[in-house]
Amino acid sequence: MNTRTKHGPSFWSRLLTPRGILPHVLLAPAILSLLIFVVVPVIYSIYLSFTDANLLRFGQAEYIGFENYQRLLERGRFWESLTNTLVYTAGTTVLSFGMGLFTALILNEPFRMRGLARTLISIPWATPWLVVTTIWYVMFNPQIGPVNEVLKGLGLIQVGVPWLYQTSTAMLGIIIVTSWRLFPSATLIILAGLQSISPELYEAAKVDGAGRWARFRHITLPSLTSVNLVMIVLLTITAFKLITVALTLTQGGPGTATSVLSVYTYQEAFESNRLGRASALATLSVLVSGLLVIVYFALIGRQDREKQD
Amino acid sequence: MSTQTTTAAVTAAATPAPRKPRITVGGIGFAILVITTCIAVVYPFYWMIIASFMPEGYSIANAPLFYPEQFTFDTFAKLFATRPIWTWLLNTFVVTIGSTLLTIPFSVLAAYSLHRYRFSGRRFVIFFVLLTQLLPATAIIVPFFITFRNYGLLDTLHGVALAYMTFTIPMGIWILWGYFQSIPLDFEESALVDGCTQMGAFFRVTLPLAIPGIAATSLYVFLDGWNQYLLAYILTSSTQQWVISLGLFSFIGEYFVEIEQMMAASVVASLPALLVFAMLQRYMRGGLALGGMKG
Repeated sequence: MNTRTKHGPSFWSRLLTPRGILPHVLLAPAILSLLIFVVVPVIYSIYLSFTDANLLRFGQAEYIGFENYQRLLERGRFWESLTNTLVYTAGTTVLSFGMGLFTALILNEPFRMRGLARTLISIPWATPWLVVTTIWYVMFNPQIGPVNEVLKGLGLIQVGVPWLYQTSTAMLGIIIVTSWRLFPSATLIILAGLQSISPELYEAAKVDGAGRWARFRHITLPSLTSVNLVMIVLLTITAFKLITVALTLTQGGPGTATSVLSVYTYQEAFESNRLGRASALATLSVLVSGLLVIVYFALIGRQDREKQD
Repeated sequence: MSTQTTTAAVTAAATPAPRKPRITVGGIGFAILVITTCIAVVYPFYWMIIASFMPEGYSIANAPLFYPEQFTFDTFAKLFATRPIWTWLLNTFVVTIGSTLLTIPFSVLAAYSLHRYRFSGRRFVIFFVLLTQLLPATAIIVPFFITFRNYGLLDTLHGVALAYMTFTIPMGIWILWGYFQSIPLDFEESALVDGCTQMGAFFRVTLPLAIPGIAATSLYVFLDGWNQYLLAYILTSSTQQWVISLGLFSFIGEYFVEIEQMMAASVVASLPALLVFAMLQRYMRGGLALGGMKG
């Protein structure tokens, strides 16, 4: 290094400066792998969506224009999976956000063994997804499942409910399971938001005679608005792209009751062997998640501007 | 608390004195609320643990809710004797550690570049990284399957590790970018003044300071890999190449589900994830705050 200061920087170190190509050189390996593993596959998938590619006869895909899309839009099955996705995504977002807000408010109060409560509430978050599936497979079991046993004990039901095996409750089942796994992340983020609210605000409100509910309504909730919005969009995106629970716990069933868009895509590709049509579905879901990302970006941008103000 | 006591409460808060816990109706109600919530949240996980120590068939015969009257280690013994659990665990470790090792160096360089420099196209790169992070896995499974088949990567562990990079690289960049923002630029600038080159300053000053962040990111990436299911499910077929989540799913597909064994396998699959999660918690609390700059 000392020699360099004597003779001036070498050609390469001059080129590798912040004003030269250094930032791009540093980015290159990551961007290159993202191109290989994300951009190329997505483009390939868009191309496949215009062909009749089939799992059983590789290399014979023919261009068929918009036929895949046309067939999908004509089919009730597609619209059903879209409705299922909407219900699943909205249900999971609402339930996990609600549980997150509730537990965050509890954990924000000072009490003994709060650290323990916080750890216990984080446990679902640390549970691997497939363990979530195996656990809840037993929880909802019609014969021995503790869910039924508890409901029977409370006198709410007389006979065991086959939660995951009947059309009317299967969707509710996987929403509960997914929310159980997702809500602790919301808890911690909302808790951080709660702890950043200045205690002076509450003191001032108390002096002005505001009760517990009024303080919650007029201080806590408004202060949390931006945290809540970002959390809700994040949960929406997570639930939208999540496939594991619906694919492993109910396998899209019974019938098509829990066949969300991602499960339908999987089934078209690897059960019906129609890779072309599956790619059309994949392309459509990329479009939907693109829309969600734009919303997310707009919210983050707004938050940044608020912070700067 | 009523409004009359407000002034007293404020002065009490100003001079922190050890307060004795008072037992009130509200306090008891709150305690019940906390305890019920914790039990409801933890119960499924707790049941998994007790069921793994039940003798075979016990849960179907007795449907125990809180504790089994019989207790045994036989279920675990039988699980390891009858299924290739060790192979599945080893495969999962190979795949997740492999993808972590592939991800971290690339992500560190990219995150540093995004943090340190303002160049044209930077905003686009950030948008692109976020976009890929939120991409549904189903969007890429068909192209992956076809390409991996053409290159002979199907049913191999390195194939699965490569596939995980689709999601771990954007995730790594995102977390590390946030972490680099917590490192003050002053350190690097004084190194530059002392005659360090730009890269020298990065490797000697910023990188060592970023080690806690890199460690935390590695743990995150590891957890993500441990949680993966779909990609491994599509890209591997033989039992010998399965990761642990495929092994767990195989229980559900069976005609007669051995519940105790399935729960024992779930306990085994949870342990590494819980351990890593616990390590991450430590980073979240203390390690991520920097104490280098005093005064």
